[in-house]
Amino acid sequence: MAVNLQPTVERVVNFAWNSFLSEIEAMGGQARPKHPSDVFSYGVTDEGYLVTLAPITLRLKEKAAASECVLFVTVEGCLLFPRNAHRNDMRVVKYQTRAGYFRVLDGGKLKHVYGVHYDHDDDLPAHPVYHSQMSTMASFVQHVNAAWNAQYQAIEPDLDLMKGLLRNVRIPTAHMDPFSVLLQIASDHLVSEVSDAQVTSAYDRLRGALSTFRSSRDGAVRLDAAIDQHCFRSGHWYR
Amino acid sequence: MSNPQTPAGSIVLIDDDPEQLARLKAEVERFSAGSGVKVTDWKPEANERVDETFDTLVAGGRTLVVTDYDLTRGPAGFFGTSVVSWCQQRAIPVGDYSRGNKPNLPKQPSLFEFRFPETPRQAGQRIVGIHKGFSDLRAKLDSDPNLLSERSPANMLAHILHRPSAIPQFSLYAPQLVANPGLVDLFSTRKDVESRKELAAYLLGHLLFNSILRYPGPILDPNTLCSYLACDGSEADAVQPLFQNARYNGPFDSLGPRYWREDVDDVIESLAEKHDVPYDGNVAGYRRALVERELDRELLRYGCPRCQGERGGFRCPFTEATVCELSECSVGSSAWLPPGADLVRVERGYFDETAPMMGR
Repeated sequence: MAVNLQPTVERVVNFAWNSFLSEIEAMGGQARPKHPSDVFSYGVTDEGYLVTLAPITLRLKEKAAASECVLFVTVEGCLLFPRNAHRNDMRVVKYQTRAGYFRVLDGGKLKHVYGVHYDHDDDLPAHPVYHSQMSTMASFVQHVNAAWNAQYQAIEPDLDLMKGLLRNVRIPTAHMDPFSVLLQIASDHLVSEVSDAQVTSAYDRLRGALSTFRSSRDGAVRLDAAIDQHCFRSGHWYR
Repeated sequence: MSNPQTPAGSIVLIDDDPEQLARLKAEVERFSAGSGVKVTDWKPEANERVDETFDTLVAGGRTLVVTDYDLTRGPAGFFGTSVVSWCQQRAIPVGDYSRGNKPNLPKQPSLFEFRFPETPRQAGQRIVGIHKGFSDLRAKLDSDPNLLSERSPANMLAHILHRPSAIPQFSLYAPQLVANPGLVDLFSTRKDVESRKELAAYLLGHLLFNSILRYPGPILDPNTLCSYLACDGSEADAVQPLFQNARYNGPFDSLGPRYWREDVDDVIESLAEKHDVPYDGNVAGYRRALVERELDRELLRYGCPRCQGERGGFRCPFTEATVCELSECSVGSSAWLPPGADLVRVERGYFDETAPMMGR
């Protein structure tokens, strides 16, 4: 009988989320909505346990040394734990993550300054197994408004810096499931060499908490070559 | 009136009705028998310097003060709210009750206040339980002075309860501590170790009882356990035996059983290994199905006109209803709830009635 891992999946996700909320605030950022049941929904597919992350929006400083929070970053996505995972070693085999960055301008407008989606693909030819593609996420302004009770207008065309970008540039990346992206965002905007001990220790705890589940080798067997050859050039991401 | 200082601390009872006061004192003494706690009663007199008497009564430390809301038969201008305010300024745990003016007291006390039943028998047990909770915390601080150098109240509490894994979630309750601005003054002026321990016990006791235990997240009471399992509260006696290994043992545990969520989840996971129950997307319903399989009987559904009690998972702390995560049923992220309280959601009807003051 296959063990039903649904309760374990919930526990792993809840722990990661509560840790993220706690440490991100210690580092000077904020995220909304906060309630796990507003953020995560759970389903089962033939492949495994699917966790969907509803749009959450962080309010952040642009750089750790800055004093004002002028950046909104909305993240949404999903991650899939395979059926053959083990309770004590939960691993993510597939994911999709989308992130939209918005800078608050004087005059109460938002500028869309970065948009990206991260994906996993182990089937299509010439696709890096883990990759990102830059693209406009201007529509995420609705999520900024919903999360922060704001009334920003739709992004004006000249304030959408991501509009018209070439879509099929697939940059090989690490495994960037939604929690990996949340760590990246905290790293980029809330900690640096000027951070005090409170922030750096919160950051260390955040990294630890988000490492309580891992990626599954089954989703990227081709990367064995990178390990075997002690070579991390991007060629190993392709086949 | 004698000095109430004893190693086990003291409970000070204040009422302008001598008969009520005597009855309450008798109940408190009955429930605290053998503990060494000194129980002192005080009926303020019209010509009395109440501030001086009060200072004398609480001078020994480790005190819980309990006052009637209505002290109008005593000195002019001296009310239960005066006592509550004095205690909060001095970081002394305080609670109140009301008989005649019950509607004037909100059902839910503030973070740094306790609300007691008006009947002496019920109040006695609760008063002693609250005092014991603070005493337990103080004893932990006495036995391990390193606790005072912990990074935050959440860390202190997690280590006292031997639950380091609870630190992140406890941290999400801590911001409510600003509810007593007088604490900032006290922490900046009372720096000796004894005062620090007293302040820490005060702060941790309220954080634990009036926030973490009141708004369940990491620790569940039996009603919330039933909500978590999507069954009616009347099934509490039936389901609790399955979770005895999850039982919370710590400060305030004499006031009724509670359970660690992570240990409840351990039981659920072990049931999922034992029973082949399909998951259909209904998270709490899946937990109930596992428990039903283990008990070999159906559990009574909770009353809900929307889902007939099939979904559940959460509890509304204001209406006491079991709710589910669907937006037509409840609202999760409310400014009235600590972010760590991830097993409570506000029932939609109540939220809509109180919005926009409820906030988001």
